[in-house]
Amino acid sequence: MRVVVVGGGIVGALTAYYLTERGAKVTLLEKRYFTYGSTGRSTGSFTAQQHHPVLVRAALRSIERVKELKKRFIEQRIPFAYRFMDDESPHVAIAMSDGDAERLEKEALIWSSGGAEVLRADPEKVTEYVPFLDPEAVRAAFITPKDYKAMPQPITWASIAAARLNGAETRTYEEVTKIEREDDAIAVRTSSGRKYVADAVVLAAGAATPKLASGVGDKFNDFVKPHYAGGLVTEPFRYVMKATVRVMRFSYRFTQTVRREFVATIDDMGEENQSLDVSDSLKFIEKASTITVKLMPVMRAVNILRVWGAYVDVTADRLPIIGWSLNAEDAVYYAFGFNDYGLSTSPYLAELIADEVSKGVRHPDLESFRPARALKQ
Amino acid sequence: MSEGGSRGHPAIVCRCMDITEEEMLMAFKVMVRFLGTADPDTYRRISSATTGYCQGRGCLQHMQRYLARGMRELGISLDMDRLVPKKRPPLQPVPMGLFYNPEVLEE
Repeated sequence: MRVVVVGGGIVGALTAYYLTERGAKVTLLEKRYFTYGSTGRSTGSFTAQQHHPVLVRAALRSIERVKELKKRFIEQRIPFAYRFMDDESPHVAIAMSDGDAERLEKEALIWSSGGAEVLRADPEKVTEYVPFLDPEAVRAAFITPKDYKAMPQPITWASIAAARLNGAETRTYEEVTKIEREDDAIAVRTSSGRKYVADAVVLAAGAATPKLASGVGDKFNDFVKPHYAGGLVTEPFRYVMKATVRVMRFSYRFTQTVRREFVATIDDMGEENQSLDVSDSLKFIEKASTITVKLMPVMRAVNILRVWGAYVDVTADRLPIIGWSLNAEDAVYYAFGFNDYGLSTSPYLAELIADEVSKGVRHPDLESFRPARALKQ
Repeated sequence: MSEGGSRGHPAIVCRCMDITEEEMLMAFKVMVRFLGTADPDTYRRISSATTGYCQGRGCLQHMQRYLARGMRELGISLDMDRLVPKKRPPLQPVPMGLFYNPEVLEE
């Protein structure tokens, strides 16, 4: 079976890999460079802090999957595999106001209902996990101690490398312009003038997917909207922070990478970004810096080295869109709309996606994610 | 192109991150062999060049030369625009406290 996977982020990379494991002949096409989109622009979290029990379970299973894949890829001598999952990282969700505290309490119930280990922590306890924390800035906190952190590039690259070792063809700077039926197959045309023939096409291009989808007659624009996001990275510091801090109200995440720099991201600035603009913005820097300094006052002296813009595809129900197209059944398969949890959940979900595409099965865990609910009829 | 540093010490290409010439050449080979790509954004992330304190002031040109030479040796035609990874603020390191503005957090 020939499959073209469009999108070189974590979802496309893992799907391509799992498909090659199932004997498919895979071509992975990336419009710019691998991890150019949402994947490469956030802190790498593997966290059970998801807002739906199915996603919590997917995250927990993903952590297990990642450990297995790391072992397997190291055996295959893939260089990036050593950085597949960097460190244990309890994720500390902090409420900075009473309103936040109420909402956080409800969210934490979802995490435990999905099977995650969740600890309630008073502000003093939080300082054990988060150095330099000002306990006065914390109203309430919940911790998922079994989470991990990673830099998203090595895990995406390792998956791509593994797919290539299995015979996949990959191309960067290759933009898909047209997808259409041709005889018994599908032709995927690109801006470089090439044509790829496949039996199925997986659209895993994150926020860029709706545009490709409308070319096939599926209109997602009312249901999925790209939002502005951003990130910054600081000078390196002695490695003091294993934990990852989250403030849900601002979609804020903060941790220290194993390269010893601190990284702060806001995965949803709350504004639409239809043009997929990745410009840096002062608004983002102010927001991320203010939250960081409020929580950890000593951070006011730490130097920012680099700031970037980003986008994230926000779906109306915050669930991903996974399944066959309605207009192009058995030809086009959607795997996008992962909001801010693509890395956390795709090591598990991408395998189910590969099963559905290559074996024609339907996996119960994906039933809440079907495209029908998201399409304008 | 350098043939190694002086008195047997390795040539340091990126001083902020301590990246040697050998590491730059190896990173290029790894990028091409395992990912089938040769673009500056991937090259800087794999090699770590330009990601340190000076953000490429010292080594961007060197990274570009390694990239260009590597691509030429592979017979890949060079699009000069493709040699430049994206430039980002700040122009120089700036303390986070400078941007503190509690108004942006008001609901």
